[in-house]
Amino acid sequence: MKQLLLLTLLFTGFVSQAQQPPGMANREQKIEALYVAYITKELNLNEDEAKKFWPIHTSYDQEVRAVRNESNEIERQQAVLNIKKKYQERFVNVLGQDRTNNFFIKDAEFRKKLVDQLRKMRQQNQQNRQGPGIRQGMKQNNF
Amino acid sequence: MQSIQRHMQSNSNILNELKELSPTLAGLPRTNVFKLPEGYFEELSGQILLHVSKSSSTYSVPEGYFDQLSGQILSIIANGQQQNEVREEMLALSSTVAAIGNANVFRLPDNYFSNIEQHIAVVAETASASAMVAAIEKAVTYTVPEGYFEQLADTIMAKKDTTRKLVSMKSRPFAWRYAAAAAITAVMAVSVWFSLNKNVETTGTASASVYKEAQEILVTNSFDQEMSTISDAAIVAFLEDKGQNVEAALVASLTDVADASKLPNATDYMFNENALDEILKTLEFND
Repeated sequence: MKQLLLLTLLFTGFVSQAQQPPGMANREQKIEALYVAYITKELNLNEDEAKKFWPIHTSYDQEVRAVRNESNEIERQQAVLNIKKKYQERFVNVLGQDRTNNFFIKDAEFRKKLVDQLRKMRQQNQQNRQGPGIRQGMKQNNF
Repeated sequence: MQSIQRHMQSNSNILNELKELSPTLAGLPRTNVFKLPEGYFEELSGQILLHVSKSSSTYSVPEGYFDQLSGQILSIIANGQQQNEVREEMLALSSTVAAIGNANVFRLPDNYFSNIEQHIAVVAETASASAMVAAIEKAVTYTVPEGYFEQLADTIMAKKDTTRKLVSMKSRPFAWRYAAAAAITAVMAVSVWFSLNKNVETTGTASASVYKEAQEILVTNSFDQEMSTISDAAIVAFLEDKGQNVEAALVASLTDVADASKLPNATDYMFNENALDEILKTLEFND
């Protein structure tokens, strides 16, 4: 009886752990996968390079996330820059200088793609919500 | 002389009036009926003093009067000297009550309480009201079989529901409590560890499933298609995780919009100072 109770407790704990974040985790995981696919493709990483590169990138990414709540924006940017400088050497060891430069460029580009995607979705939302009326109003302003 | 005559005349007038009112009084001889014995007032003080000296012993109480008083009163009552008066009064009021006399009317028959059921009128009443109840009469209906309570525990045990498990409340060995506490703590610790571990896994890019998914995207060349399915909230969460100010990035992205016709022309700013505000409003980045 007691063992059964314990098992039930354990099971409930696991289930709740497993069930709680899947929605969020799945959504973010999708973007993470897109990111990995994008960087792999843009940097033309082969399997050997990927095996070395992504573990370094994971710890780099965690350090960047760690400073995201810095309230002073300049300090935050400085901290991120310091992390980039710190990891640059390790990236260069795997990718070489040129592709490391390219990684930082493509990393920013991916985020820009997301921002563009977000802007498009919101504009689409806006038009769907308000209909064509507002655009006509704008045309008047445009002469 | 004249005044005497007038006086005599008024006297005879009074007499005549008296004769008319009462001839008897008028006929009385004129003698002084209120005559005192000779030398009455001379002897009066002596007489009074004589009475006063006598009266000093007038209010004496017979010896032992109060000692015998209660006894005397009781004997008087017992003799019925005063009862006679009471009885006469009672007789005048109610001859029925008076006829009872001294008899004790509240006497109970012999063995009344031991045979009380027979004397209660209710018994007869019950008999007429309910034949069943009357039939029960004096029988003790709540009898307990002999030895009932001695065998009760055994009877209950015999009758108990054997299909259900009996949960005993006896105390367990002390070690059990520690074992239970340890087990609960272990469950909590494992849960916390898992939740923390999971966090690292989901937030890092190192998760194996992420690489697998990335591989699939590359193989199927479905980057753009997958990109279009991600949600607003997911993008915001991802970007904020990297420390990006999403609102600022959105505004900045406007300058790169290929559809430049959506942006106001240079001349628009001259005619309408709110041109930029309006375009920003229509884009509504605050969604």
